[in-house]
Amino acid sequence: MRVYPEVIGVASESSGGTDTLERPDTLPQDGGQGPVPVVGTDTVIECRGLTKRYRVALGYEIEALSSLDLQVKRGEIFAIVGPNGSGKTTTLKLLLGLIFPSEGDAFILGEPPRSRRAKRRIGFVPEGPFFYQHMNGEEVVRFYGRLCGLRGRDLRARTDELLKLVGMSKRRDVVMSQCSKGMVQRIGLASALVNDPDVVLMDEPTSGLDPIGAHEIKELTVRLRDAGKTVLLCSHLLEQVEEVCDRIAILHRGSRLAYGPIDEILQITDQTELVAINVSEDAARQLAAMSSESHTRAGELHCMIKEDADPFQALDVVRQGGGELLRFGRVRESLEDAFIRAVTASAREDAAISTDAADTGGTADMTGGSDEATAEEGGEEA
Amino acid sequence: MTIGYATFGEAIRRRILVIFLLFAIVSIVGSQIFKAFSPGEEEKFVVDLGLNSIKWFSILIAILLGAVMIPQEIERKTLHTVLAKPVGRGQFILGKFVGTCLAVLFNASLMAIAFFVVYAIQQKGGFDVSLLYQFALTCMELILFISIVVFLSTFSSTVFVLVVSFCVVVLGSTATFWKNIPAENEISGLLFLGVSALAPNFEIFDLSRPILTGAAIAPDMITYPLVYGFMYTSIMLLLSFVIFNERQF
Repeated sequence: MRVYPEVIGVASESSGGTDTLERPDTLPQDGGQGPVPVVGTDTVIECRGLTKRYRVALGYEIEALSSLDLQVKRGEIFAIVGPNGSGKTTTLKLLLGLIFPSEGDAFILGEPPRSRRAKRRIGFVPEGPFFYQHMNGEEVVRFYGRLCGLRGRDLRARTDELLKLVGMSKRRDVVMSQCSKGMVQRIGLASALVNDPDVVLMDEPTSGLDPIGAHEIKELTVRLRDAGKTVLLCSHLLEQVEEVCDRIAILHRGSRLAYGPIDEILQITDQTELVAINVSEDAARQLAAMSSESHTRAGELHCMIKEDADPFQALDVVRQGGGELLRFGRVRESLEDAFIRAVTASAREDAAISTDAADTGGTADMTGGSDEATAEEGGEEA
Repeated sequence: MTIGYATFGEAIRRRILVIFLLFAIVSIVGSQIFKAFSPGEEEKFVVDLGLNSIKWFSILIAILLGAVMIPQEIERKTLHTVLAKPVGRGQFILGKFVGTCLAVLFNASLMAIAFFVVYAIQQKGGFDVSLLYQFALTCMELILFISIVVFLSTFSSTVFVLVVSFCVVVLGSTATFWKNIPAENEISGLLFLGVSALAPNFEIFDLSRPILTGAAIAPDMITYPLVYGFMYTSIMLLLSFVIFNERQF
């Protein structure tokens, strides 16, 4: 049994209603399958032109995923974000071999998705998992452990460790039919980690969790990354993703709109934000006049300085008004802003291509066009 | 076997299964009361009702369990978490098949124990070993039938499986009729031939006539159905693997 690296912070299982995550004493086992060769590359997940079409009535097809190119590097948290129906879950299903691509290829740990060799090193946390209702939490984790080849003492130790990790050790005897959504999600996470996966795939991991539970899952995700695991997570909760991920891909209607490091995708805007407290009424009035937007919240004055105004003059106003400066600087857009920007650009591109096609009487690959255009805008090439 | 045990554990907790089991046992035990309606043939009545109760209640249980086991896993997406582990799709099907067989045979065994006790009381301690042969063949028949239900559930919905399974039971239990029915034209002839060739023949698993008449049971009356059942089951499972392997979830 290997010793877990010191990257995982300690927390104790609370006796109250909400459990907290804990540091496991040991690293997960190898699943009893012996060592698996390490792929000689830093790319852990790769999608090349991955396309999935579903046949619908009367021979029509819908494209759930269009020519997705993607590379997830070892030891990073990579997020696929997008609204419902954007192709996030389809991508995960393709990577797990649950569905087959119409075109393109996917590789996980250098193996095709259905490879059992690869699956020994993968953990999957589905959205709203559903487990055998007659089993309790401990039995569920043991069941998945046995599927991974764990037996006897190793399985018992691993189960105890993971139940502790997800804050379910005191509620291990609760049968699944009586578990809350949050408890089921925690058990799902423990089951996914039972084989000590190198790669963890998460589909909306915070779905159904209260804010504390969601925060704990975020923390655990970071700890997994710090422990050398690669995490691929899909979510439409942009705010949560923004806080933890290293790189992202934004999907919209099956197309990749942006792709790259989060810092590159989230642009720094031309606007300057100023937050101050104890500002005199007169100074506040002056600042409001210099701002495109200003409001007071919990005693703090928030101002977005107009682009044509001098931000340093606003600083002087705060100083002269006896105020205390809390924050001052250029604003980086949120992931939500970046997402809306990418979608809007894509829609504009689509409209332009449609107009061109109508003018020339020809047809155009709208998806491909929008993909390329917005990927550039996203800041990184496929 | 992990999937098999989980399936068994889930199956035996189903309330409907317990209800059928109770009905079967009530029917078997009740034969001691109702035998009065067949004066002079009390033993035949008890044996006939007992054997038929075991068979038909077990088939009902097999239909209800088999029809939901795989479609429910797909619908609830439990299958996603299982197939995300290093588990082959063939292993999954085999596990579901074994688990369902264990649950059905476990119930059939409880019914058989009830029947053997009732029969022993009827015979004042006597016991006919041919009843054990019949139970062994009933078990093989149930295994074969479950393999068909599993095969159907690899590509269709619960309702479809229920309807088609019921049809298979009817066709299989009237195999001789379909084989010997005079064809009015070429098409109906081909249809009857097809039905008798494809549908399983459940009649060969029935030893009730020699048991009730006291005739000797030839060895091939045991071995042939066992080999037939084994072959048919193997083919059904093989087809299930092939279809399930290509399915997308």
